[in-house]
Amino acid sequence: MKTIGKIFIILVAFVVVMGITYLVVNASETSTEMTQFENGERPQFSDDERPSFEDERTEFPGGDFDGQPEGRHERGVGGWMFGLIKNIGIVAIVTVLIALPRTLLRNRKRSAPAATE
Amino acid sequence: MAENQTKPKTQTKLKLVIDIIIFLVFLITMDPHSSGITIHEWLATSAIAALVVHLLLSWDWIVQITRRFVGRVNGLSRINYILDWLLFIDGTVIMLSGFMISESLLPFLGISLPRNFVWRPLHDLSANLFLLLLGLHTALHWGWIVDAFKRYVFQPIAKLFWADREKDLTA
Repeated sequence: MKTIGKIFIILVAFVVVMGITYLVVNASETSTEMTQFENGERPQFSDDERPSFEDERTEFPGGDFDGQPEGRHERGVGGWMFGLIKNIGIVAIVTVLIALPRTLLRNRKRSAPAATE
Repeated sequence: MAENQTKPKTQTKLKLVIDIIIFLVFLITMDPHSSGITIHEWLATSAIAALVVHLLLSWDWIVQITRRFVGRVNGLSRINYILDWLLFIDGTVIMLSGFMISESLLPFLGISLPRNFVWRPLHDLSANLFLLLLGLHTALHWGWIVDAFKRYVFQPIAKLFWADREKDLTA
């Protein structure tokens, strides 16, 4: 029962953050559109490029869309390995940059009283 | 008494296993071009369960720091707490923006959401930020990770190896 309560609290926090994000994104989009109309600007695409929101997927000009739905343009083993190493590398660099000085500092603190004894 | 001692031990073991799973899932989902969009979406969504378990296992610490956050808490715990909230918020933004641009999971469930071109850059940005935050989170818990690996991975392996050697010597 206690665990269910905890799970409920976590899910409520999850939903609250999701709700706030959704509202912020929608509000910012609405305000952008309003500013565009107030300034007399038009959207950047022409009539034939205008996105129809009835389509399953809408792409906008200038994006990195290459004609295939996202995720379908799969890479080989080399690309997969590169992505994996790159992500591990970023985490490792951040970890080393913070954990190493902390460990050195702690070791120095430990060795300082021992040296004075 | 013995029960009290074994409980944290099994909890630490479980936490280590869950954390390794979350890390591996994160690495796979960070590269949707390689895994494919279907695996990316289903795996990331199922990782919510692992994240909930991760939070449940740290529940006592979360409650303790939440109560004392304004008062007496050491600086490191405070930084950890703020970082954990940032991770939670960023993770939630990734999930929401992921659902909003879903190509496999939500269509499979028969759900269609309104399209908005903001969600994709937001998804990419929050995922990149998550990578940095994960690095910081790992760095701040490095001591625990090293201890847990020593105790539950390296020492059992070493014991197995030495037991085999001793058996060979006595034979």
